[in-house]
Amino acid sequence: MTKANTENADKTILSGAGDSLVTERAERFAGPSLRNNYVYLRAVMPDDHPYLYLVETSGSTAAQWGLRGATPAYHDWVQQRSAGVLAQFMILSAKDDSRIGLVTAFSADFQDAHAHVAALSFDPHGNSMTMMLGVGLFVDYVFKCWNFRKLYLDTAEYNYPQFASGAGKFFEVEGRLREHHYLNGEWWDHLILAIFREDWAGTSELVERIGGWHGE
Amino acid sequence: MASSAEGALWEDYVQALSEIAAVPAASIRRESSITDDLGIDSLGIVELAVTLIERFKAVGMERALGDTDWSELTVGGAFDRYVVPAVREAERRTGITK
Repeated sequence: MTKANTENADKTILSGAGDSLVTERAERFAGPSLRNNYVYLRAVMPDDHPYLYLVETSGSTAAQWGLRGATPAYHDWVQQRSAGVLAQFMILSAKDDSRIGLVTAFSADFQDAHAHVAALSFDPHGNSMTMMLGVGLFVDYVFKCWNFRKLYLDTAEYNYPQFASGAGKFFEVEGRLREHHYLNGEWWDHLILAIFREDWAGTSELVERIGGWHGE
Repeated sequence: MASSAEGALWEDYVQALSEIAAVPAASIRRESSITDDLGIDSLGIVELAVTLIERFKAVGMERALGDTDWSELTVGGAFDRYVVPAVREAERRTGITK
């Protein structure tokens, strides 16, 4: 914007005739939101580490996610957990600040404009709605902070039924590695899902709409 | 006693569930579990909540959304808890009860 244009814009605002322009400018320059009426995201702090370690090593679904049953030494786990991570947040309840889940963007490839995202629900049998709203906020945040074309989400086949209905609506199934995972005496496929930037706008609007409902 | 408006809404509600769950409407019962019997997953729950609130004007769901345990909710339970009060409220406002 040139100096003259800036002055004109400021004059419009000062004259009181530019309320919509003020709003438009504010929205344009605002960063991505980390909060809605139901959940909010905050960075992982050292105080979260013992909790996360217990969830990942001893939680009810520990063998199905992340460490897949392994129990690395705590200090090794702390040192390695941020390797390759671009952004990571805890999802917390806006109502009582309880921890709901963890979302991570990692293995960013800035040359080819893609990254991986992962989501871990601390209570897989709990309220899936709030977890989904947290994941939605996070994907929105990643697309708004970095110019990625698409985000990959890797999942083992045994976890896929929890969100399979989103195929073709919220993500595409792009790849399948046959019998890639072993669990409970069975071999399971590994699925590579992709969320495309151009398809995300509709989902972003939906997440914003739901998040704006009166949650409290 | 269920009003005719309530009866018509039940049909629409079951049809909406049928589309979200991709199961025949005829197989949906009042006592069916939304997650276990209809197989509605976490993203389907999002779709269902949006349908209930925006299409059926469900009462109280917005505030309960963060606390609702969908795995314990039945088809009839969700209808009675969130949709029926919306019908009653609409009937009260218009003064019409068929």
